[in-house]
Amino acid sequence: MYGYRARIGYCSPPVVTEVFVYEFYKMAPPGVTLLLTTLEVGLEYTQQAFDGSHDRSLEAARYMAGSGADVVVLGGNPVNQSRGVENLPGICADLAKETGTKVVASTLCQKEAMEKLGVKKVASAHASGAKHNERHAEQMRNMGFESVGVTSLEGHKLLGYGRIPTEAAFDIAKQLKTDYPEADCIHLASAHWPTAHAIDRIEAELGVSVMNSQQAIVWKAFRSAGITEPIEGFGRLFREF
Amino acid sequence: MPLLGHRARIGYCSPPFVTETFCTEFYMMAPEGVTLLITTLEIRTRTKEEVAASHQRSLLAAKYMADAGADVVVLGGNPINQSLGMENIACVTDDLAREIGTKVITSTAAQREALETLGAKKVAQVYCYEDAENERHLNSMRNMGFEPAGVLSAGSDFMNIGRVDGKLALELSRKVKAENPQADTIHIGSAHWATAHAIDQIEKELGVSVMTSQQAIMWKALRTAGVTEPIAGFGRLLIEF
Repeated sequence: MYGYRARIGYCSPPVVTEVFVYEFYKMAPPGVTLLLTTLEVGLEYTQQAFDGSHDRSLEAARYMAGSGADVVVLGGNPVNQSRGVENLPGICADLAKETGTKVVASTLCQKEAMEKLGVKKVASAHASGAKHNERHAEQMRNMGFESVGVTSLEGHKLLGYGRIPTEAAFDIAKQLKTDYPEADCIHLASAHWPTAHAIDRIEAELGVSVMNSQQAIVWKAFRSAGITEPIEGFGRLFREF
Repeated sequence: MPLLGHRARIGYCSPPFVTETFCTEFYMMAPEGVTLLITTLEIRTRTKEEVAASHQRSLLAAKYMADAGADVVVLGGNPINQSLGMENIACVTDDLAREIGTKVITSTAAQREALETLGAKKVAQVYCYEDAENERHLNSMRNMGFEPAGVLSAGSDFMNIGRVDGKLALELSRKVKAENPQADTIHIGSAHWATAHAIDQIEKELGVSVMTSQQAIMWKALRTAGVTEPIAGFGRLLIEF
């Protein structure tokens, strides 16, 4: 079978998912495959969409485990955090016990990634518009890190993230570092806009660590599934940990 | 500034609730600059209710995909498509394309056109599910207007099609051709088990044309989106047409 080394389950919040799958297969060594279920987040971030997505995630996790996935990721930092960050380890542990498969959550992947990178002060960039800046700052604080600044690209709906130009990730990271020079980490938030290609350049040119949501999810999933070799091209996280 | 999908962005409504192999094979075949927008549907075991729910979710997903800028949307799932009635499929896609302003095709129409393009007359079939599905596959081929010439199954339940041994596509093809030497084409049915890697070898070794569901969908979607160059490694269809 194609996934002879590892098969990674991912519950993907956007009802139409594009960039995550593309970047997964850029990062994945031969023999590693993705099992995907798309969830219920459509045009708006709503509690109803988060609740529906969480429920569909749980069903998908059980199905993925039955299909032989080595690890299942409950995707979506907003979906995860809607359950309470303090509850996530328990949710993952209970589901893992029930299904007999490892379970991780996007939020916990990102938290662990920043811990590994030795992060202290985080500047975040996202694509959902400035009205979501405070939500992103709060999410960072909930994960236990100091948010020194947040900025956003403008005018992109979640389901249109695939239309964000590839240069945007580097450009906004550069702007962030200029605006918040004390930042030791740039967080490119959301696993669904094009960022993976820019990680190495941002780290090299701006002298920071980079944690992007997609990278952290894939990193934690690979390591949980026993794919432990360094992977080049996607930042310190994959090279060093 | 380019997009990841700067050449073409292909929407695919994917029947399996948890989808694995289609994405893997998509990125095996896709030229640089071509991306996949995917929504996973409702098929867990392929009940009538799941088929109906999948069609409904497809219609919603197609609208989201069009809004996200997809160049073409594929309504996936030959059984889902054929449940609408063969005679109605063209009307459904025409109406939907008019409504959402994007090209729409179906898995069934893509496969029928692929068989026509390859000049198929007598079609032997192999597929991944239990052999209780043999008659359905024979009928499906007749519905598409081709003469079936034998059918063999790999014997997997739906949940485990991602775990089907990668050797089976070739081995079953050898067997079905030996049992049905009149077959000029082998149809490897279902877009969700490991088949793409075997197409060239089957064609060369057995002297037949090969049409796999995934290959036909990919071919029709790429050509519809204007990606017209030959793509090597996946059979005559993507090389010659």
